[in-house]
Amino acid sequence: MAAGLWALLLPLAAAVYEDQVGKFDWRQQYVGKLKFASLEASQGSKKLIVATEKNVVAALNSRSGEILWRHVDKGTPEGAIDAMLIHGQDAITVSNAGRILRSWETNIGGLNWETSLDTGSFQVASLVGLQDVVKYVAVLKKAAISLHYLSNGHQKWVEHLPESESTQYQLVYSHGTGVIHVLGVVPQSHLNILTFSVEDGEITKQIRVAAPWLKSLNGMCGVVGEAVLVCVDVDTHSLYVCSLETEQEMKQIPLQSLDLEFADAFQPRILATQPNVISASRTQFFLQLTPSHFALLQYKHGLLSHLRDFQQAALVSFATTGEKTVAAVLTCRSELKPGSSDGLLAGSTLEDSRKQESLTCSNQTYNINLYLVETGQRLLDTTITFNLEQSGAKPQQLYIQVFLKKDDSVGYRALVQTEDHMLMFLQQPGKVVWSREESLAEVVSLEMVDLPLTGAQAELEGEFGKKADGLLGMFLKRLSSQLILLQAWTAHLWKMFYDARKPRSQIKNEINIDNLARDEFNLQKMMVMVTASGKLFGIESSSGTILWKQYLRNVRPGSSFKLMVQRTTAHFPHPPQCTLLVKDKETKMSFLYVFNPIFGKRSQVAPPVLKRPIFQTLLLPIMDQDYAKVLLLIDDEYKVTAFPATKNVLRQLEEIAHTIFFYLVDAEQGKLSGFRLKKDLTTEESWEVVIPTEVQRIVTVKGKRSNEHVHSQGRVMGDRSVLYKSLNPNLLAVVTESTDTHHERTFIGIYLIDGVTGRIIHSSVQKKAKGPVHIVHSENWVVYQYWNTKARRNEFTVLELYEGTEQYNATAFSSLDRPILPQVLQQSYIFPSAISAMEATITERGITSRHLLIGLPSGAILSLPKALLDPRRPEIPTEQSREENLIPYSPDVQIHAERFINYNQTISRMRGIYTAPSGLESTCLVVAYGLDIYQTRVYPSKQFDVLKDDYDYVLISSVLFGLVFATMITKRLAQVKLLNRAWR
Amino acid sequence: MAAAAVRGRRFKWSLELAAAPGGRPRGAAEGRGPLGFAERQLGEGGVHESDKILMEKRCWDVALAPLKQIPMNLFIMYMAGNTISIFPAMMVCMMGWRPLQALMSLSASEYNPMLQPHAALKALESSSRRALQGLVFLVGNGLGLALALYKCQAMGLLPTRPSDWLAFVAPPQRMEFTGGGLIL
Repeated sequence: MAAGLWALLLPLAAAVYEDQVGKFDWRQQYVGKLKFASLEASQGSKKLIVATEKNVVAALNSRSGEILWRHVDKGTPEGAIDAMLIHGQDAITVSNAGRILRSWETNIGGLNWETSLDTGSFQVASLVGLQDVVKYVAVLKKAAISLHYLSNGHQKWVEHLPESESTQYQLVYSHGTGVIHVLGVVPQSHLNILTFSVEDGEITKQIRVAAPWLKSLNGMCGVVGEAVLVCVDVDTHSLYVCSLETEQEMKQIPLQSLDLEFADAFQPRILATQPNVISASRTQFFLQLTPSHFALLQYKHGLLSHLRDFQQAALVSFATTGEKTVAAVLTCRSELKPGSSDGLLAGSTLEDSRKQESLTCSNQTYNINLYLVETGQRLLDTTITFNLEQSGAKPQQLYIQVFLKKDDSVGYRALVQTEDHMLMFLQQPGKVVWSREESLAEVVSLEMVDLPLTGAQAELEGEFGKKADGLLGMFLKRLSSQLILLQAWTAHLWKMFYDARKPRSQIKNEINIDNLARDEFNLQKMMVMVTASGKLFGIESSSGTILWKQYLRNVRPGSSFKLMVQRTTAHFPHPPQCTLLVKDKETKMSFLYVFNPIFGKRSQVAPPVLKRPIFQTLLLPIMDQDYAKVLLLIDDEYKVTAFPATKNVLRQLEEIAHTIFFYLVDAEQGKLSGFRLKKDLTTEESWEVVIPTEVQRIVTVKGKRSNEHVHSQGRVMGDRSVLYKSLNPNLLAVVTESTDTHHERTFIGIYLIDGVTGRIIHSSVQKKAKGPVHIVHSENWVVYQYWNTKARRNEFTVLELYEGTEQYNATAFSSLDRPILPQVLQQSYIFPSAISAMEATITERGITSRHLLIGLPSGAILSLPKALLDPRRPEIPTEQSREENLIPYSPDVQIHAERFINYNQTISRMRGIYTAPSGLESTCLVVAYGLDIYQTRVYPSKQFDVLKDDYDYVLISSVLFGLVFATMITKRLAQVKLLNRAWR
Repeated sequence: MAAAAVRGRRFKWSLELAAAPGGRPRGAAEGRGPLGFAERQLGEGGVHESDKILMEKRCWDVALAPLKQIPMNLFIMYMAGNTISIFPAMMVCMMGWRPLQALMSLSASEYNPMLQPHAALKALESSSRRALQGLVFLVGNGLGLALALYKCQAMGLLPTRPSDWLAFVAPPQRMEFTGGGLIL
């Protein structure tokens, strides 16, 4: 019997057909913000190797920007890449704080070898050459230096560094002479220069150089020429030089002679370059004097000379091809201005604190020029001009790929990374070969907004929306709108005719911002994505095309975001309106950004200036006269600000104030508190629940989705009575984890609390269970997943709340009038895998059965019918349970590969799944995001409202026509026969 | 007279050329009519009486037919069981439809004489005990209908329980609005 039921259930979640691959779904892969990048110095090279802050090592196709291969390490600091070195076809990476050394084959992305290193905080890694061959890689840690073979990663030797407690070793230098120089600094005292022999690791020389002004080597010092250390000191306005091999003292060279001035409170930096590890460094180096002022200097034969001065330079970089080394300088075309307040700045306090760094280019146009390092001369015809007008962000990193053209002139391409994590690959004279929006690797908030109606549809809507102006006027209006419809239809026909003549491959249905229109089933939507970098994107959901982007310049990393849709597209001619609340983690200040989600433009509506930190928001279903939903913001004094705050709204608020409640959860203090709104927009605390933080801490609070519809108010039992669901819209599910993580004593707690009254409706403590807890709260059920430390497995628990066979009040739900506590049913299941994200499907009317979408760490999304997680599943099946179609209880929930909705399109490091209803009741739109973004549709109850793709229109219509003809012919025949008989 | 003498004799065959004096053939003169020809007129009263009895019988047959159907229906009901599948469903439909049709035609003939009533019921009209027979017919069909309803009920086809109206239950109106969450 059970097997039969399983078999019945299985076809519910069939996988996609082969020809449906990519038809309704798309995936975009990202690598994250660049940490290291390497561009091959040849014109024909096709790839660039990158290591990113998302712990990804990848190769990008330099022609198209696509990912050739990608390796994703752990998302935790354990996977962090500390260094990347390129040698020939190999890329050597150091990750996990210097614990793991890996070598990658860059053509196909295979791992050559991997070795684990000793513990110790990682400082720097460097390639080491010996007699014209690069054979080793040196890894410097706080207390030791080790040398490894490049060919197999085996350790050649490891040496402890003397006085490692007091000395900070920060620099390794070698230039093919058979020795390695290791430089350490004792801050404000002296410099330690150790010289190791490459062969056996013996310390051949140890020098101590007095340098009482030196704090750190990183940035302040560089090695130029034949092992000459150059350091800069801001206090004495001078450079210090010292040969690592011969000298015992640092020579001071004052900078005033070169006419160079430092800016206040800026730490000057030295940028040197060593094109090849087996030969000496270049004698030329950059000295950064202010954020936008660089000087190209040369130290040769004991003489310091000033080659060229670069004012208004944003970034500089060295690049070498063959014998030629060039310096690339990125400058702003017009003048750099401090802290512009055009456009997107809202809080003035934020602006002040950032004044120093925010030097923005006024017209966002930048130039890159090449200069020959030996002379400082500008190379002719090497200017790349590009514009960053759209994003408004500053360039942050510059990588140059230089090559010699056939006529021996220098050509180059440039990879620019901007503040908003956009990668641009530029070609002369300013063509953007490709660009990648790497900020999408960290989506924090996401909403789907309906697309607007087409012009014709909108015209019709407008006709009915406006007030009547006479019979004739209405008639004329109707005529004109019909005419427009006719026009649109003929245009459509013409397009069809025109397209039909072209071969199918050439027909491109490109979507751009001008032809955006809602399709008949509303399956195509606008995805508004908020990324951690503060960049907003508008992505068309059916193709994944980025239609607009907007960078909020004053968002600092680590801010929290809350995105709300205040007005949908349903209120033509009012434009749709989204509001983003951004709260800075450090200053606690927040601001609102109001924009049109379809076009990405900032709205004309002025948001209120928020003087106090905002704790939470609440989007009310009431609207102002312009159909914008009212947003309430509660600040740290528990006062409420309304937006929009028109008279109409305030009057409505006054009327319904007694029905509006807030709840705030303070995880740090373990306090949940409820507030009641008063008529003067102040609040009054109405309840408080304290969860002692010594024992447990609050991890998650989940309410229900406000747009969720529940079609069925109860469940039909086997005896045909009704078990009514307890659908409390104010219910919160609060998850706590124990502070004690010992596997015997660890537990998780689940509290179901009414958000209006603070009444604890259900509480349970699951002993020997550990987080991370993933929870879904919907309809009348809560599903959560945790790690069972006793049985050492992942488990699901489902809670369902029922009112019983009688409804207390069928017409109105009030939390204040609920004398009977709901019945709570509970059941647990074993799940064979950990999970990384979980969400429930949602549909327009809530008729379709629900599925749980479970993101697995493998990157697959499992669509699990909710019917499998049903606490009413009987252990012993009875006649009645069979009548109800309840599957007999079995403790394990299996993962069937055919239930993966994303077949082999895995999503790396999935962090969340977003679901949205479409216009079709059967269809739910799904977006999974993490390092990658994946969009698809799911049909939890199959496509009951759509004809199948393979529906045989030809057969059906031919049969129909055939039958019609057959009836006509037989009718005629019958008439003839009757006539003949009559004559007889 | 010669003819009478000749008639008395037996010949193998004879041909009489002389026509009879009356011009009538002999057979007809002796009253030999065509087959089934009765010389005397049939008496009216006796035959009419038996026809009426027959008619009455026939009417009773028609009136009692639905009642007679009931044991048969009961048997089929028992055999069909309570599961909902195509044959029991069809059977129940037929069981319900037939009495309904009969009743409708009954009412149609009563209220609208222009309509063609049921063929069997046409016979009832001429009956003298029309009212009683009509009643019996009505009761029989009513019973048949009740049986069909009972069967529907047993099969769970009648929307008599709250679960049958569940899809039409509107969600309760929300009286309070609440929102918030973890402090941002």
